[in-house]
Amino acid sequence: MIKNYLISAWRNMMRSKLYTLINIFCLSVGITGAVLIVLYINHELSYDTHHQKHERIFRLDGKYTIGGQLNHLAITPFPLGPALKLEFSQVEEYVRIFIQENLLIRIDDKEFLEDDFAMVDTTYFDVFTHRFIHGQAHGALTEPNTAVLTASLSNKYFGDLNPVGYTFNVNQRNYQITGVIEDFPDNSHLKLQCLLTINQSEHQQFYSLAPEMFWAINQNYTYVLMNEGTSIDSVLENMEAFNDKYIAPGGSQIGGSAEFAANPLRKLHLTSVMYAPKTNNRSTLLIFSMVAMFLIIIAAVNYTNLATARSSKRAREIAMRKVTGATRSQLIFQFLSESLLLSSISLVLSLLLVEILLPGFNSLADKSFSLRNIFAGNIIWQIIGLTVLTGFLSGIYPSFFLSNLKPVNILKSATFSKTSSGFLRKALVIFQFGISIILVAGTLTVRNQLRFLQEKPLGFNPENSYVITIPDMEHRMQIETLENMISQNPNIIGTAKSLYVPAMGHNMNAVKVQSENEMVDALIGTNFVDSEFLDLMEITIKEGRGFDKELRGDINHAILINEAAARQFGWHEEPIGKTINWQYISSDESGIRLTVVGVMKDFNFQSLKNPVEPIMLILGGQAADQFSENLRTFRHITVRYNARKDAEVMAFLEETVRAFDPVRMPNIVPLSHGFSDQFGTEERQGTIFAIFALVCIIISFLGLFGLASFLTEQRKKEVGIRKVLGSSGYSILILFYREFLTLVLIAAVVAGPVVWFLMEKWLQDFVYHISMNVLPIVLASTLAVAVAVITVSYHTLISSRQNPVDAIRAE
Amino acid sequence: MIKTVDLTKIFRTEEVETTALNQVSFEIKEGEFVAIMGPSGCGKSTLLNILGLLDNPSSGKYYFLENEVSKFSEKQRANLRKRNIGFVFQNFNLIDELSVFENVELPLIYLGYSSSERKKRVEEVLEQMQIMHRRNHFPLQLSGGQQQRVAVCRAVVAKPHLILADEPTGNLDSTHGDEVMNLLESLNKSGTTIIMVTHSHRDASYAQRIVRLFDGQIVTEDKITDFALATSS
Repeated sequence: MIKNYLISAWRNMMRSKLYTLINIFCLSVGITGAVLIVLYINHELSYDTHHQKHERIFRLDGKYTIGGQLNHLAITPFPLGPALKLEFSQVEEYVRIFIQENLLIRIDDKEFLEDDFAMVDTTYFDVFTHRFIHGQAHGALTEPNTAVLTASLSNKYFGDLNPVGYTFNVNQRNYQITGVIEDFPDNSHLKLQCLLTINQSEHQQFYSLAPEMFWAINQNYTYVLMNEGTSIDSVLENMEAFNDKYIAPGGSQIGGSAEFAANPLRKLHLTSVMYAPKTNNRSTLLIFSMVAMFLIIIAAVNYTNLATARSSKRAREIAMRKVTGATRSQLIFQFLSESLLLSSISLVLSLLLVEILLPGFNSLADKSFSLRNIFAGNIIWQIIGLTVLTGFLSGIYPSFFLSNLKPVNILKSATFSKTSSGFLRKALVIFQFGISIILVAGTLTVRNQLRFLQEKPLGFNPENSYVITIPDMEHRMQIETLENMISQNPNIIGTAKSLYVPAMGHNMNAVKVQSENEMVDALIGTNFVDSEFLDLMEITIKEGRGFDKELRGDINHAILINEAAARQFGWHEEPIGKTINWQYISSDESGIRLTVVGVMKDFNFQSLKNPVEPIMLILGGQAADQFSENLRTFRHITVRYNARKDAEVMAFLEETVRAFDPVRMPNIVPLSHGFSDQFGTEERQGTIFAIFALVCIIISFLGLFGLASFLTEQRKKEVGIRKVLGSSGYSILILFYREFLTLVLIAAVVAGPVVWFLMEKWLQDFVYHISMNVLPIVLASTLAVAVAVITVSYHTLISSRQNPVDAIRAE
Repeated sequence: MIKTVDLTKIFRTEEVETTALNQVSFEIKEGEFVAIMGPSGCGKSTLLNILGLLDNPSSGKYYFLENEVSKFSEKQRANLRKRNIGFVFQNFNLIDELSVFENVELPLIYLGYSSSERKKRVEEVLEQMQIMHRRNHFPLQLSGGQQQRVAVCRAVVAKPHLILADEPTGNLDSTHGDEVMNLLESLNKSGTTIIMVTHSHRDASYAQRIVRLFDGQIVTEDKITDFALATSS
């Protein structure tokens, strides 16, 4: 019986090639989009599952409250891991990870500046799973000063050599290489190049802090491995005594408290916490899943519309099958098997399309998928499931509609012309165009928002400026020499030195701030700058004054705060002269008392994903001897140059920095660098979104094309009679336009509020965002109308120009 | 085999009510060849549809093979129909996308015959109707007479008790028409009951009895001898 169904389906497809092509094309495109999205979503949900014990591994995040302000951070106190293992028998093991940037690597006479190195506990390989190319996990990091490299890094340093046993120098310390592991896979939330052992006692000395204060500094990620059969909740629910014992002593000194939360390893990639490694957004996955469903539904709608519109072509077959004994369920099965056949053919084509489109998709999504991924795990079953769903969605209504036709009605006349209820078809066209309008208007809103962020004033001038970074202390101490060398060039307008530059790092510190008659706890960002910094950055002073290098009193005492700080500390009137006590960087118990001499207008010192938070600028340099050397010694020189001399200045700076430090590669980037790629993910997603919107429009266009083609053919007689009765070609055109355009306009009216609601919600996730307006909806609707006009015009023009006699005779 | 009692069919639209059959009562015995005649719109095809279990009457009773079937569901009717009734239509109603063989095979598929049994039966009937040489052709490649012969093959392949023919020669020239009527006659002689709707006196002359309808009612029931006498006088 199935053979008979398939034969009939195949011959029907061959008889109506245009409709078959439209259906196969739309279903293929729909399935292709869905396959790409399935790949993407599976990848996003597969993060960190390559670790054998992933179900028992959790990262602890800290919820720190200082000065009434809650900060949820992915970084935790250094002693947390060992203390947890000591206090809770459920904790089998812990591992701490410090990610290190700007490390100076020396191998023989070669030097490299590296990011994404990590200092880790000796227990790293007891918790995480990696495949070793050289060496073995057992004992790899148990000795002090040992290192494990990834394959890429090993290749970069040593070529094809097995480097196990070699030593290399990281920031003046020698490490022996004990193993080489495969590169961290794409679906790892951590992407490291090298693992180095940490030494706890050295680490503690580095901060020169009392042990209890060590709990107040958060710099590392803490992961715990739970014993089998135990739950992390049993630890978290009993943290009260733990907090009293470990957190309270240090916390009370800074007026802060901490609680810890645990995130399962598998979910880290989709859990956005401050200072966590780059994550993706859950709502992005949701949106992409919806887009995949939309694509499938829109393609299925085309099939449904064309199949029901063309039901008269199948009427006689249906009647005769019923007359010869087919039951309704057999006919439903027959028509569903037809749509499944079509969706299966489309699947094969879509796999070809996926193969062609994957390179482009990979570069857009920043992934490295191949066709092989489709056949890995259960993805192929998901895709087959989607294909069956597509076939089912496409065929379900036509099969019920067609199988319900009454043979008595069909057999009465040779030219049965009942088609599906026009209402449903109209509703489906409205639905299809509604979705297209939502996607196009959504895409336009995303674009507007990203443009707004790119063009948003930052509160300082990032134009025509380069930032030179000096990584090592030896050269940082001589930074004035470099500044002098640079200043000689006539193309250089000015220079300024600082510990940090905007969007390229900052410190958050717990301080006490003056409030009424007492000092209260607060959290504030800090940066050490020279007296030229404000002018060079073009940061505006709102109240008070900037730093004055002539005033010796400014050194060690004066600070500038931003408006956000004044607001947060309640210094609405007379902020000048207010004091901040920065206690914990000084061995002196009373701390360093700092006085506000000026208030700056807010400027974005972090990425635009963050609101402007309180910050203070402190005059740095060697004279600021109350502060530790690491803080007061500048790391960056910002150089403002003549706009038209960009390339020359870059060449000059490279040459000068090389002369200043001949062994190290110059690290020079535009001042806007920190802001340039901050919305890279959103931009890429926006582009993907735009492509899918376009695909939806194309599918809708083809669906309408097929429908218009059929309906105009079906109304040939009506057109003929109208023309005989005196109607002009123009009024025939209007007749058809009115019918289709009304549907598109209804779609616009329905889609408008939906897209408004969805996009307004999306925009709320941005700290800085545009307000939603109707323009994208109007533009998207206009596009939909234009598409409908073009589609319908082709057929109606032919129809309106026909000789009426032909049409009437044909009937 | 067939008995109707006060069979009535009313078609209703929002504004108009049309009585297509009005209390039609008659009986047809197994092995009979009955022609139903009457002017256009008198209810011939409606009656045939109800007799063929394609439609239910609005009221009245219909006994088919001793079963009262007037209230049967579509599924019950389909089940009874496929086992017992074959149809021949004026416009052949072959499925264009299926070949001659596949068209004839269709009733056997729905009866659940195995592939080999179907092949045997279809080839038998195609041979019998002398259309075997066209088994792989499609309906549109055949002449009208050939198409109707295929339709008859399809109607008889499942060996039904009853064949309903709705103006079987209406679209054929006289030569092909005679050919089809001879086929029906020979089927009747081999025991199949045949009910045929026709406008043609020539075709009706093949039947043993004529039921005449007018405005949905039976006006006369003639034995063919009476009819022959009536037409000759």
